[in-house]
Amino acid sequence: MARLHVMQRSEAQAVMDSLHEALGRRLAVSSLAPCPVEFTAAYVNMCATQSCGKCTPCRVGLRALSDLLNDVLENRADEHTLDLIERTARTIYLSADCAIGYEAGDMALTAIRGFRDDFEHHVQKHACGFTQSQLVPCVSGCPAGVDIPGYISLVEARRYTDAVRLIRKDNPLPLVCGYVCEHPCEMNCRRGMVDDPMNIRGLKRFAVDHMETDYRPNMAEKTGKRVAVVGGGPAGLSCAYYLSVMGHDVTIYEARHKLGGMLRYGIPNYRLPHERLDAEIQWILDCGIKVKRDTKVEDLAALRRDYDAVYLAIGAHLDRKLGLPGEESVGVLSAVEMLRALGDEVRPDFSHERVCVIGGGNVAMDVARSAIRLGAKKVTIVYRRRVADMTAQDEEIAGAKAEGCELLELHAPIAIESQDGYVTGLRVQRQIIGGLSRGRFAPREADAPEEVIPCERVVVAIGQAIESGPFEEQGVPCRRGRIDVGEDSAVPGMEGVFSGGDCQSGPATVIRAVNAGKVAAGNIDNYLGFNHQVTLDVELPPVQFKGKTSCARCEMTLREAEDRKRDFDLIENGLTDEEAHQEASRCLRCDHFGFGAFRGGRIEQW
Amino acid sequence: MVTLTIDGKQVTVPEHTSILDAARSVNINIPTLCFLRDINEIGACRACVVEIEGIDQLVAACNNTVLDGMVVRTNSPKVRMARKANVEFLLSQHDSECTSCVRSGNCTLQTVANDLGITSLPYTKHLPHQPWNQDFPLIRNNDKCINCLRCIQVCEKVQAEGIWDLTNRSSHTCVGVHHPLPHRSAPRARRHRPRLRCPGRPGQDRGGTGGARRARGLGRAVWPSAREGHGAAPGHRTQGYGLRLRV
Ligand SMILES: Cc1cc2nc3c(=O)[nH]c(=O)nc-3n(C[C@H](O)[C@H](O)[C@H](O)COP(=O)(O)OP(=O)(O)OC[C@H]3O[C@@H](n4cnc5c(N)ncnc54)[C@H](O)[C@@H]3O)c2cc1C
Ligand code: SF4
Ligand code: SF4
Ligand code: SF4
Ligand code: FES
Repeated sequence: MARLHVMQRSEAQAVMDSLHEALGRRLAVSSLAPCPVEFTAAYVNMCATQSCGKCTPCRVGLRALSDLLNDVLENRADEHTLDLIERTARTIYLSADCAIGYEAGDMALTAIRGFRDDFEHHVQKHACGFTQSQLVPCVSGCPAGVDIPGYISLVEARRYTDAVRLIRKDNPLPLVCGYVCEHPCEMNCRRGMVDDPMNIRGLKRFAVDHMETDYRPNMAEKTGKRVAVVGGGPAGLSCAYYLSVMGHDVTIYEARHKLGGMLRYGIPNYRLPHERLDAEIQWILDCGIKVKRDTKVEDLAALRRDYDAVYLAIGAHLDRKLGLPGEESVGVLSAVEMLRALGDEVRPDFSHERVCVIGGGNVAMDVARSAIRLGAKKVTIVYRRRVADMTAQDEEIAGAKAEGCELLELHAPIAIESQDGYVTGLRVQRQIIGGLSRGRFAPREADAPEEVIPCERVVVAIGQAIESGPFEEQGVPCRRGRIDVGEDSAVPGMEGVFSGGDCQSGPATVIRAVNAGKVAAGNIDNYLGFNHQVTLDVELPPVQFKGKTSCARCEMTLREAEDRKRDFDLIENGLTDEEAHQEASRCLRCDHFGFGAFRGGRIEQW
Repeated sequence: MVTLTIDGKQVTVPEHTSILDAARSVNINIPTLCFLRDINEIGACRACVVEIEGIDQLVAACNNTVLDGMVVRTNSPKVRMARKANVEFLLSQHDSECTSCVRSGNCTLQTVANDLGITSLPYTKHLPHQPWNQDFPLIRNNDKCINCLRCIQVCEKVQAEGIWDLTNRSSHTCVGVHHPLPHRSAPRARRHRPRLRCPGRPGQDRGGTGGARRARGLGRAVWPSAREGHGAAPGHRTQGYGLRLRV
């Protein structure tokens, strides 16, 4: 026999690898929410397959734990079983010899403690307390509940205007979302089990960009009720749109000169072109919505007196300060200030400047990439954790890098250096990453000397706060700066006043703001004594059975970095006709196949 | 030398001493099942786990060494809970028919279980029910095996045969031969039998060689042996097995 062997990948290993990949894909698609007990049992069994079998807690304990979990599922458990389950998982965690065993025990403990109510429900009621409310996976993932399989089928049928019409039943900003939505729906897409999730945002953008004709929504008869909407961001616009199609007379009060909120004064033109945004806003306003621009609402009670109801959607526009020495120097700018100027088409000249951007979120990336476009000589994104810990989306980080931004991870700013009141550099302290703290890996000061990054400008992008103070003084309940309303958006103790969007959730996403506006519109309608329904008014093409096919996802492409970084023009290219139709044909139509068929795959009206 | 505290007692032992030996040096007994000095120090059974101050998880005393200033607790509630659960785990896969087991009264597993106060078994029983060629002169009864894995190690390290190995994986791990033993390799397989003390007591050994047995109407030997202990004269019935004799 040979002394050594060259490592080779056997066929069985290849099959095993493909099963592992499929399992990863399956788990990544968090589609229909499983029963917590059954999921824990399956998890424990899965872990048991990885055991080498050497030590007792892992080899035998995991199997014993699985038996007990099955006892719970099969109604053989009593109140002692749950204690025994906990003790069993704890023993595995405490005494297994390696991470294969003790991590399994620890995960099981987390599940058992976290799902205690569900476990008890099974034991006492012999049933799962968890209701199955997720009919269509992607739709459940979309905060606004847009009828995704419906409009994808319309794109497939080349009926783009109808697709947009269908989207607007639940989201009056299809264009905005086609360009910048964070697409949480795609994380749930069942097609991900087969190969890749659908490119849902790409198809939405395709529909919007290829509408055959424009149309106007059906408007309900005038009700004579007057509603004031404070704030012209996506939450305010959505609320105003649905209220006006329901027949109410709506006036938007906007502090700034133009509408759009963070869509204009946050998201840069190269991701969402202003003239496209303006067209979408105008389409909404054409429903007869009045606008009072440059009008900051200060007296809520007075407004309430003049209108039958008020919706507060003021967003999160205050900049957060670093609280570091030197922050008042000339050249220090907040992200909000900088993006606000860009929103009004004011483009400061950064040429010959070295810029440090502090932060690791999407806003930091937008600021850094804008700084490059303003001609900055060098842009450094300074972040105290690792790049892997950044909250910005991967594409945004990759985009910033491609355009020449430097990512300086694990450096915490400690002071802004200045001379004669002008910024000369950013003093930073190297960090070392450590263990989990409140769900994230926390850095701490490394044993290294301070450094100074020479620069002429520092942009602070460490989050936005809500200007809720003035409203709090007028009796609007707030918690940690956020307007504190219930699920129905009604402001407690202030009849007829509703609120939602970033000012309620903290800085979030467009589609969550749209959802907030939609929910408020429905509830304000009821408050005003009506029950208008927003209904589906397009007929959908029949569903075709296609069987399992293999086809990967088409991604949208970007203009070349060298080219795009020189201007503020749109950087993303939409799907081509060929790509869009291939992509649309990949949809598994979960509204018709699977659980969707049982409960009905769509919400026809709300 | 290293100085540490075990159950409140100060202990000074040479470096590289195991926690188990350090404890024994001051008459603190930590139960063990799988440990066989120099041969099987693999931390399999987890009956010997102890608590070390500052660490949430428990550590096997048999194959981990002392450190200066270490504070060890061998009998804390956490230790007792985990030890007991681990032995219960083992018993859930052990055919505990003590009344018909020749090893009863002379069984570390039984002693450890008694010492831990195990009076009932909370877990569902799973015996491997492995078929075994009954014509074969040696009998393995995996329903008695607790997977301490000593036999495999002795086979490999002492007798250097490498016949016995783990068969099956993960939850279904058990000891066996990868390919069915041909009848003529029986003598080889049997050679391993007497040289270790198997705490799991997978069967009865009536002693003698195949021929002699058949002559006596016994037919076959059952392995692993309970009679012949490590270091004991062949055929001599030991008073137990494993560590109790070793020390
Ligand atoms: C730089 C940046 C990039 C982003 N990129 C994305 C992205 O790619 N995808 C995504 O989904 N989300 C993104 N977001 C988040 C998204 O823009 C917001 O979550 C969303 O705009 C919130 O909507 P809103 O209507 O609640 O508030 P806003 O959009 O903030 O609108 C609030 C409006 O109220 C006005 N207002 C405030 N106070 C008053 C007052 N007293 N009187 C009158 N008017 C007032 C403000 O001027 C503003 O126009 C981004 C945010 C930023 C800052
Ligand atoms: S914990 Fe590690 S050593 Fe113990 S059985 Fe599991 S995989 Fe093997
Ligand atoms: S396959 Fe289609 S219907 Fe199913 S989750 Fe994905 S986009 Fe939605
Ligand atoms: S047969 Fe005996 S020695 Fe071998 S693993 Fe089983 S219990 Fe241990
Ligand atoms: S793990 Fe130490 S004796 Fe078994």
